Amino acid sequence: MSGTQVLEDAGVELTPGEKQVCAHDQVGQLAPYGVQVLLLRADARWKTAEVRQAADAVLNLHPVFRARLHRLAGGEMCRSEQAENRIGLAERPAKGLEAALAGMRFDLDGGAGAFACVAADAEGHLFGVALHPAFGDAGVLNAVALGFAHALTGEAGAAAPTSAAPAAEAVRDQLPGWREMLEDAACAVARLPHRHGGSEDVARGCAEQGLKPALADTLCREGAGVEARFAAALGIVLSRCSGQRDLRFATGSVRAQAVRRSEDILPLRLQIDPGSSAAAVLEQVQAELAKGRARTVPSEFLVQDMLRREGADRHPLGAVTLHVRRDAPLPDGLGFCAVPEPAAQGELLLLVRLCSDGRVILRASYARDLFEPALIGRFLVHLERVLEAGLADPEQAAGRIALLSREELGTLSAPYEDGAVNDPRAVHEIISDHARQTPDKTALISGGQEWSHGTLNRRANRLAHRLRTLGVGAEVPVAVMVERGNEAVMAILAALKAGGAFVPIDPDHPESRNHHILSDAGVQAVITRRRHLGKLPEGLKARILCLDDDPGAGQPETDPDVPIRRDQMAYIMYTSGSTGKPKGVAVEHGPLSDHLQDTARVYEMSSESRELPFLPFSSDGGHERWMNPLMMGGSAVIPDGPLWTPEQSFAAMRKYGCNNASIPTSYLQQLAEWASETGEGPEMRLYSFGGEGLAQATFDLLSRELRAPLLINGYGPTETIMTPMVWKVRAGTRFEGAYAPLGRAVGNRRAYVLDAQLMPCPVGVVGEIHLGGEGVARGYVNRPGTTADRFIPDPFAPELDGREGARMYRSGDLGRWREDGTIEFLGRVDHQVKLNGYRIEPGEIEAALLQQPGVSEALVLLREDGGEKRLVGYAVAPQKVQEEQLMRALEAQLPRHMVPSAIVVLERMPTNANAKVDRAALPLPGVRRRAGQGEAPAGEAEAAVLAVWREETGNPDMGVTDDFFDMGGRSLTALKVLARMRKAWPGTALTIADLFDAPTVRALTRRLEAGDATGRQAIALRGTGSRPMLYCFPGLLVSTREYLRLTAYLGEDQPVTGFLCHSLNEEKHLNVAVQDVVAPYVDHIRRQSAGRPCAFLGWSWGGLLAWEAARQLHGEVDLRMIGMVDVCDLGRDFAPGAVPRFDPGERETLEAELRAWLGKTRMRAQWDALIGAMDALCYEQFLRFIGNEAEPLPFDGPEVSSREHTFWVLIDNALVFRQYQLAQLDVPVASFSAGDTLSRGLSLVDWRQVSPRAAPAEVVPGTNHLHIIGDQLFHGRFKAALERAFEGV
Amino acid sequence: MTQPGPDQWICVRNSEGRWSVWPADLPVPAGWQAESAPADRGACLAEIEARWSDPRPEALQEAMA
Repeated sequence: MSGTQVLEDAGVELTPGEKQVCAHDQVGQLAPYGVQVLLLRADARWKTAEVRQAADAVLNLHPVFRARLHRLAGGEMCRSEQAENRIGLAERPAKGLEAALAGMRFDLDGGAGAFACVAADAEGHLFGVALHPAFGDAGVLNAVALGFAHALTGEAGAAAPTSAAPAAEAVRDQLPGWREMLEDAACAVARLPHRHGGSEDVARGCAEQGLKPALADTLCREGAGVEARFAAALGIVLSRCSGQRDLRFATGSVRAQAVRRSEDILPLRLQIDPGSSAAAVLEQVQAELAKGRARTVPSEFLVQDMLRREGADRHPLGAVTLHVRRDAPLPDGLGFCAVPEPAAQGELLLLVRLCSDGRVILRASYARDLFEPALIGRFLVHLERVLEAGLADPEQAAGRIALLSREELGTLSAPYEDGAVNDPRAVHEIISDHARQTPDKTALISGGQEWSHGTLNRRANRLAHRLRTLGVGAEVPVAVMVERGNEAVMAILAALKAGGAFVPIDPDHPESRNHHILSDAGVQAVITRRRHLGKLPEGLKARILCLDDDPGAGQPETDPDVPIRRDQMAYIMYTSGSTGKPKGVAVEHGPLSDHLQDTARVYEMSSESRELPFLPFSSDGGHERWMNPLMMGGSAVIPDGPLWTPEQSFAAMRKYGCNNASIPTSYLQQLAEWASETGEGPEMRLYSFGGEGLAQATFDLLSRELRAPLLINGYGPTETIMTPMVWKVRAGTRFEGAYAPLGRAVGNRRAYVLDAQLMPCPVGVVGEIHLGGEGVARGYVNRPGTTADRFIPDPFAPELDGREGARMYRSGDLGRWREDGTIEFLGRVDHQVKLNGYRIEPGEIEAALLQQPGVSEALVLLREDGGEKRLVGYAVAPQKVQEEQLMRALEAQLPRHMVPSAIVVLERMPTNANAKVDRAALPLPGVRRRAGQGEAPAGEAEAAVLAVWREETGNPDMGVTDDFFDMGGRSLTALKVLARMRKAWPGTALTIADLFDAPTVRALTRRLEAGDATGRQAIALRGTGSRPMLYCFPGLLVSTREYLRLTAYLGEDQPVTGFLCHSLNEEKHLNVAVQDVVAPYVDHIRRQSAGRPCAFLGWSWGGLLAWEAARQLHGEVDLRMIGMVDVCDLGRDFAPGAVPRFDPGERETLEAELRAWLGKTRMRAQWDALIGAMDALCYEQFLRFIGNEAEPLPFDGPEVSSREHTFWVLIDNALVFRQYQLAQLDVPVASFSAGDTLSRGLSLVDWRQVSPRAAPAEVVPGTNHLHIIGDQLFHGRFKAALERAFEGV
Repeated sequence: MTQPGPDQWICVRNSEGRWSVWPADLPVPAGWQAESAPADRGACLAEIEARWSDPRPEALQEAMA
């Protein structure tokens, strides 16, 4: 390919970049490109005439002011420069000049692409230029600025830039090297954290920040190397924000002085280890930038190449783009008022401008729906900090540069505000106080018994005195092996009053577990009942007291005089770890009492509080929820059975007048569902819950159905004492995110989200939740090593709180700070996986699965079977829930890299002995499982059909009741199957529609035998729904299955009909007219929707079919919208009037090739017919088309799926469509173009030319002509357009 | 994230006599004392397992003595 090809003597070929801009202009959507504006100010030292003269001089000098673009037949554009075409110099008012220039519009076909003017005001003069981005960019305008300056000062400037286009030679040789980088799965596109549920809409936001003067000054003096410095800082920030160590983003460049557009981007790959020094990252950037620029390629080629793969990143070169630009040096008295901006590509564009006055401005332009504005603002701050740190200490590790300031960390990690001072006494001391003050007030209700505070205290005292006689005192563990109830509470208080530490043991738990606890904790006394004695291990060296024997009999009822120290042990709680033996967590009195008092204030508790605690006594949360009301002088209703039905729970709440309830999240859902069904939920003041992630749908349900104004989501590992974090909200609150927020810390604690280097994560960035402050446990009993491993020094406490030697607990839970400073839960650290360079939290995907109707449990795993890593989702759901539906739903909700490659629906999760999910027992995904072999055929007909199906799908196990498409059948396979069946049953009008309706051997055979084959041209993709029908017109060689994803996305209420592709019909009619192709579609629509509203969708050449159908049906149906999806015209290949060119002798060679090939092909008759139907020009175009093909002509026809057949259909369609003229129609058109199609500069139909109600196209970036129909971003935009069109229906 | 990045760790101990581990290449937080030479994390934890014999805070040990 030569750099500049002369076309038809009219001008030179456009560069890929210029073509892309033109294609955007063509469909009415110039973004991401903008009109390029230069505005120079000259001060009053110059006279108006001098300024005019200089402006005139530069207009004469620079070729851009004489340039024109022209559209050739077939839509392609070329560029020419002619002396007589120079634009004039206008005069404009100075006020509002920049906006006026930015708002200039240009006619690309033959019109000027530039506008220039001068203006004057009190301060002097202005020289302004506006440029269409197809004509030039900053490189051109820099040359213009310098030319103007030289003309004004009379200095000899550089000669006018020559008219050479950017060299494009040999670029294709560079592709393999780039491909290697872009296809390396280890290197992922770096992104900033997206807003939950955000999508990349066209709307852009903007943020700007000037760097501190000292920093700006240093950077401005740096020279050419300054770009690498910004790229290194950006790489470090992105690495820190994404957790990726191997990443890429795009870097932009533009020629310093140019005559044409030269701006482009290239990917920059960086490998940033947290330990690499800032200097090492900088060196890497310098090397990579140099390497990349030595093999520069137009970015369009790279993007087109990558987007051929389905599932490629939407922004394969980078979602973040960096441009570093320095103002051209201007003489005294001249300055820039406005400089041109680069194309606002990708999710985030960062423009660094080094101004001539020494300022450095960071400017971010970002997809507004994807990012919180505050996040972008902080991103700019992070960049500045990393730049500063890298300059101040080049040896500092990249992973240790602080992104957050101390103040930010202080605010984010802070607990709920609470100025109160806690009572220094221990829990039981505070409780017994109420026995003195309100002895007759109810304290406990359980099993029909009601105990007053006085009764509770007297009984606990007597037992405590007895325990003292047994030697119980400080640091002595006392097991309480009594089922939940008043007596269990009394026994626990007795152990505390005696100075001991209680160890709760559930008598119903497995004996092996309980025996381990009794010996591991070293209990010296056991309080239990006679009936549990058999459950104690033989030879236990502990005193055993049975409550049935009234062990406190004869002991004093007064409080024992046992002083309690704050650092003394209060309890040991055993955690049910998923592996290994349970670990005992020891908690001291001081932190416990503080925690409870702090919590009581957050929960707004009082002596009137009456709580129904549902959490078991084997969890610390279960104890918090009775201690809390008793410490306030209130009461608790302790459920006596292990499980109450929702009915029983509500009855108890009502009977005893409860106002608080604390409930495991899993049970809460049942309660809410019951309340929803019966309307029997009692009025409560507060529900608190916790124990597992709470999905939005569940939260909405309980927020709506449980009648309580206050809801609290509690979170906390046992190691950090009960519920160190809570999220407290009013009912009806909505939250963004997979799970309800964990909230913020309670009491004298701090909650941090830290990365692997123990550095605080910025808001939105995933890290591990650490809990610091005084409210943490002492550690694990008998496990000093494990204690040291999990409780680590808190490096922030000295600075934030002045506390030295403080510890924090690493929770093993993943979270991220939300904008409001609360923390969101994202799953377990050890479940986090890495796939294709992306860090993925399966919890997020699981939450999305759980939101689907019918799904009750979900699990997502990274499987590595047979060497290939893939994400697999497991969902427990009724059989009617289909895997494909779930898949479509996830595709609509999650970023591409998070969508599992397969979903398996299960009746239930396999479990192991501990009742935990047995991950190893989860089945491999594959072709749908059935019980045993597929069902055998009944009768000859079924057997014959089954044989064909098995052979064509390559699935020998297929049975007669298996779904064709589930068993691996694809569109082209379907066609082959149909063709073979038609041969066997001649005379049947079987179409692919029949296969859709009757997708099993049995159903289709029945249809065949009954002679029910419809020959229909329409398929009901969704037959139900109250909205008007959407009719989908097929492109070339597509089946209607391509529309299934869109149909799923549009939702249950949107009926969709797909028409069969004319080219998939086996009977070929030559030279049919478009009018005839649509005739059956039109009939169908008329029958179904006459006089009613409906909408059309035309994809690819289907757009022309939709247009023709609309024309024929005009006035008969109420057509609300035609959605035109990437509809191109024929381009120059077959456009009428586009005369092809041949090199000398080339035409003859091609014709000889064609003849030789016709001698070989088995489709000779079809080809002869087709070629015979061509007129002379069309035949020339056909020869040219063959000559342009890189591959030799195929002769593998006439099978439907053969390349030759496809080729024939393509040419046949070209003949059909080249005769079709788009008529003028007054219909609403919403059009959508694939970014890739624009990038190829293909000629998209501008529907505004044929309908007054056509909107400019919406551009869907990161997808191509084939993939757009399945692209979620397109789905979102199409749905929005359809909703607008159906408004008021 | 389960095993923080750096390879070298040290044993540290605070004024209450509680032990932990800390990356060897970072400054020891205020209130903590280095108690060992750098080693891998497992070795440090094993050393703590051997040396931290009384889980009670030092003040409590004294009070109970």
